[in-house]
Amino acid sequence: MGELHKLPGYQVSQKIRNQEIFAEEYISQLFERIDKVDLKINSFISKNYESVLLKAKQIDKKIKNNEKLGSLLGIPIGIKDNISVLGLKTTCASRILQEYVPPYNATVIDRLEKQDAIIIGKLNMDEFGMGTSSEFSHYGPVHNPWNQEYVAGGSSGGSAAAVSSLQVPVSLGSDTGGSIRCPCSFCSVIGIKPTYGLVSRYGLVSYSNSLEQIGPIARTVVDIAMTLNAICGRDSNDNTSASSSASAGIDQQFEYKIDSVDGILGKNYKVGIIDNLIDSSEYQVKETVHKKINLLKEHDFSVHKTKINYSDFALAAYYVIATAEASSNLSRFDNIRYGFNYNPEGYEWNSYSSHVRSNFGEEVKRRILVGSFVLSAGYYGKYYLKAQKIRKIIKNEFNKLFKLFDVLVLPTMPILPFRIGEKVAKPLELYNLDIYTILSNLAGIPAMSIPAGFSKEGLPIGLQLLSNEFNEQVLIDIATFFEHEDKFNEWIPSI
Amino acid sequence: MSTNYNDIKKLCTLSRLEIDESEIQKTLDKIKETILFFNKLDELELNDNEQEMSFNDMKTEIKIDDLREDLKTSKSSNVDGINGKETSFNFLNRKNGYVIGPRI
Repeated sequence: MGELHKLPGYQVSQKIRNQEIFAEEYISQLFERIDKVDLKINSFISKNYESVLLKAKQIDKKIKNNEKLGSLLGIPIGIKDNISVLGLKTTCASRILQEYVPPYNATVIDRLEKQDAIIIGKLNMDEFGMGTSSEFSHYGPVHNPWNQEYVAGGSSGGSAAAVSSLQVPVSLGSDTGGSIRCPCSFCSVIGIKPTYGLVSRYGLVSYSNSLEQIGPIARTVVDIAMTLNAICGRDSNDNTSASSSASAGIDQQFEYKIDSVDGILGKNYKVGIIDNLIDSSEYQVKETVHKKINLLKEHDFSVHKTKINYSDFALAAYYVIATAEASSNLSRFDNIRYGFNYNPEGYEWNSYSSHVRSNFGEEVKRRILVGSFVLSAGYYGKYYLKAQKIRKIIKNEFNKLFKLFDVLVLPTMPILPFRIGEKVAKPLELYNLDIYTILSNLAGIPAMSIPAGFSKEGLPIGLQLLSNEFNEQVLIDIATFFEHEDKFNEWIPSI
Repeated sequence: MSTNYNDIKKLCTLSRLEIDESEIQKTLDKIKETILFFNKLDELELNDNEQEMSFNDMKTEIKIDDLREDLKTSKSSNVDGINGKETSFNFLNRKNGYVIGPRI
């Protein structure tokens, strides 16, 4: 087997464009890699080999004919299985949708294909995005490429593990409370949750629509920026998507660039260190994050300690809002419009729905029930309304912090990756792991996880960067700085 | 508040979910634990300003009148019951161009 699978997306694209390699040749090598490696990782739910090969041939033909070429030419991209792809099963890792084939593309898919990217297949996840470990999947857990006895993180575990194990250079995930950043931290790759509204959610199967965003996962910052450029921007099919001019007060087009390290240092970014949250993390995480902070100090970044209040309340508020929205969003799965083949004859409407909806997994059922509870008469004010007030307090707190700082630094996850099965029966323990990631979803601000190092057991640790809304460029700059210093794009698991 | 067996059964009805009798107690325990965690929200004392829930922060970029008209496209045309034409939606159970559903 050749070594082409090791290339990051932008290099693949350059080589295909320069006719150093054929798209078909590259894709064939990638298939070999996936067939060999995914038996151990379980990151794919479905593969799109036939049409992928056809698309690769079309790309080679386009080059030969001197046709206009897209910015993501020939880059294979894996898609989380809750993002609709025309004609390709979109199961959300759920038994209830195991046969569902979308009749349309999500906007992000249309935009990737417009730039000549290749949709290679659908990736494993926690059912409907509800989980922190990618163990709650009808298709079995995703294994961490750095140690296959450990979880890959979730809910976009397949998206992060496939990139980490060199099966694809780029993937898309979705992030409702850390679902891109957690697996990126656990698998040592880069992932960004964009500002709420930067990327269209049209075609994303909704779990909690006021919190979630689609974002790219890759091994290099260049790939992240290129993919984000392709998918971001206003979409008439999603009225929560923002146009460039809508980012009031921020004179910025949605186009992200890779600056030189000197250029980044010249921007004199002010960095806030979220000290209270770093202190509450596991000691190896804390040590690793402090090393990264020292690196910033050595390069004369303006670094100051700060704190975020109310994080404990934020976690409770997040789960109230997320479960409330889930109970509403998942009510559409009545098995008439979407679902599996089960004859409704002889059933009354409610009993049919209840019966077929018993095919949801345990965690999904629990969240629907909890969501119905917090919205029920008598409890709405006690839980949901109060959670919304806390959400506003958190947003105000970030507004104040971003008057002082350009970027905030904290760990992505408070602990190291854990063993598969270790926490699966303890939902509250899993919820508590989201404490650092849910903040940006509540506030709608962008957040990125980048590889920071490893524990003494060889398990990955991630660093989280937060910036103000529509300031993704700051995150890309800081990530570029760390990539240059640490060369984390060369950290590859031996699988 | 203490959640009990009957509350879970009621929530199942509201949510249109079936849970095996053997699983009810386990589900009840986990839901109780989650709700106890949510009760943390009661510990936060909000001052008068914060207690005023305001949606003034929400921006509407497009006025309702400026939204586009609904369009009938091949993506949204579904199954035409009168003409019996099949279109792009893959309804699971169909007969003579109609969708079969349970009785209402």
